Amino acid sequence: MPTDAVSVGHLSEARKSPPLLAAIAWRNLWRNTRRTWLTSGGVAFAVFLVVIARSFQDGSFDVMIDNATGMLTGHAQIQNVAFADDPSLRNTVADASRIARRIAGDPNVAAVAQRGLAFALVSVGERSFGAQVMGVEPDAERVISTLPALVREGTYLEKADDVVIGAALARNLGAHVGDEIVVLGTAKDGSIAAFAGDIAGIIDTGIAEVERGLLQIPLPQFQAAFGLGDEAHAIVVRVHGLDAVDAVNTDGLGDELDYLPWQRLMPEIDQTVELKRVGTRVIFGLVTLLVTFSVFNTFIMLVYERVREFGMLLAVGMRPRAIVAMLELEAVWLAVVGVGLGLLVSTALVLAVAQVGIPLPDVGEVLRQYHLPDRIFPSLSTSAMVEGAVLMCIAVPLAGLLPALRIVRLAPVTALRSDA
Amino acid sequence: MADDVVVVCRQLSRIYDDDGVPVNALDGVDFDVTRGDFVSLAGPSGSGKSTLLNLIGGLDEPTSGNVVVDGTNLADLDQSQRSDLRLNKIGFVFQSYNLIPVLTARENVEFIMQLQGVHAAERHRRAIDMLSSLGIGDLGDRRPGELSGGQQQRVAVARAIVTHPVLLLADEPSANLDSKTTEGLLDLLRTINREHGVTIITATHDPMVMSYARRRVHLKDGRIESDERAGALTV
Repeated sequence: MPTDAVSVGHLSEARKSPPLLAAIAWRNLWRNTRRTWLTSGGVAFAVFLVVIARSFQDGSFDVMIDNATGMLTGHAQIQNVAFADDPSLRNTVADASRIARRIAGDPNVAAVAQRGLAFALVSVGERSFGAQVMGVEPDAERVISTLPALVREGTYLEKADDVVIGAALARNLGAHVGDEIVVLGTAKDGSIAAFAGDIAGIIDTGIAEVERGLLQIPLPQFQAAFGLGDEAHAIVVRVHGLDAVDAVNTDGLGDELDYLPWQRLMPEIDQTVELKRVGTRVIFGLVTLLVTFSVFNTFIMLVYERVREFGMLLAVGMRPRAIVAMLELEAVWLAVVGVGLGLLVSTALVLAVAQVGIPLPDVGEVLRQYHLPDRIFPSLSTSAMVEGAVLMCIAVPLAGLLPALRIVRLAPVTALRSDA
Repeated sequence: MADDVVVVCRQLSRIYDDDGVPVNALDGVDFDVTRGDFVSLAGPSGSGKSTLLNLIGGLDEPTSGNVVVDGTNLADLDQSQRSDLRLNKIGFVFQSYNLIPVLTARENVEFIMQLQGVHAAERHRRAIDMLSSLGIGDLGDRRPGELSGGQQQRVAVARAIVTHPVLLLADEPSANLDSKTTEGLLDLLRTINREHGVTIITATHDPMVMSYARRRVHLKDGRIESDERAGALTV
């Protein structure tokens, strides 16, 4: 029998390719079936919690953002760079029709609408109130905004001299559908801007703050009255899904114009969403910590029980680091089982609930008043799935590493004499 | 060191700490083993035979003195290098077999070769050949828990010699076996020693094991009391 030693090259090759180690690790995992299921169940629960909570949260956020942006703001707007700080009549988007057509051609964009905005005195009969006059493209507004669908009386804008107003403004003015309404303001050149039309419809949003100053007229009449030509104050953009907001090609807008996603238009909504997400992450962090302690405890027991076996592996020539690697593979398998289980159950549950939604009977009436759905529909959060899986696949091996590192300091002879 | 000497121990001492009380397990032992020898280390419990075996195998570190195995001074090696030395030059057979419980007999034998970097097809072939040559070729797919003590010990021997070691260390290899199985195991070790030239050192209480050895070293209180070879007695 030849007695020559194996070359170092072969050794390093073997230590880089651990298929048998992976097989041993997998089989070792099932030496104590109950413990493995309990520990991987903890991992699965953490992943389940992350995916379920985030999916329900994202579902409610999507509805909240869609409703908040759907009434007026849109998913994004193109404005003059000065308009956000100084929303005066002068700060316009020049050549608005051309820019609107260009943006509408972007595959991420679902609809585009130009708007003109001005503050003016509005009069019906003897009563006058200040209001924000909005020049709109009626057909585009029907696609981009929920306001046209909220006309309580009359119709939305159909003729050139039609005007729609908010219900609160109508009450303040004592106005009704069919009444003549006069708008008086200052045009861009400083001259008097005047427009007279008939109230075609009254909009009921359920939000008094919005209705109190709401008045819409067709954009061409607005531009003519306020001396704007082909200028507008905002090009409102609706995209195919919130994720597409940042994907819209805004190259070529120039220094004069700014593309404002909903997060900049409605920072309070963005901050609310972010705050809730941070809170959820803190809870996930605590759950992960608990799971990590559970895995840590499992590995302390596991190493203690198998000290003699590790002594044998050291004695037959396995390097300490290779044994640690084998234990880490066991931790990885544990994470894979737990993560797989957690993803499977949570995905199935989210997809099933997404079909019917969860009714909110106690607050449904209030939600309906604000034209919000009275059910929560979870939206399967792929980012939560990835985050949960990655988090566990890092946390579990890390939790196993500390007990496993004991092997590096283990004297083979001591380990072989162990009674554990 | 002469080429025909595979183990050299010089002034080897090992003092254990037993709750603050120093215990002299080995006390200045000088011990050489020539290549191809079959040596039994005998003596009562606590005589130092297992300690000597562990020091030769690099499983333990001496308090003082030197161990040289096949030209390599173990004092010059760190733990990983000692692992490599054991992997490539030393085979171990333990009293309690110490097979990997989740692997089959064949996989236990293959595992060592994988650590050496032997390619899958070759290690598979060699494992099957080795098990067959030890008379347990039909048990390759069974796990240790499904094998008798004697069969497990044969698998352990197969694992120990499949890597072509220069030295086979066996610590009480017959302790858990009946006399018939012990005889079979010893026949096997003798064959490995004679036909393959593997040097064997075994620590044992068992007179039957001693009777198979060509050299019998008797230890007492951590010192070599007698060193007997083929009828002659040297001290």
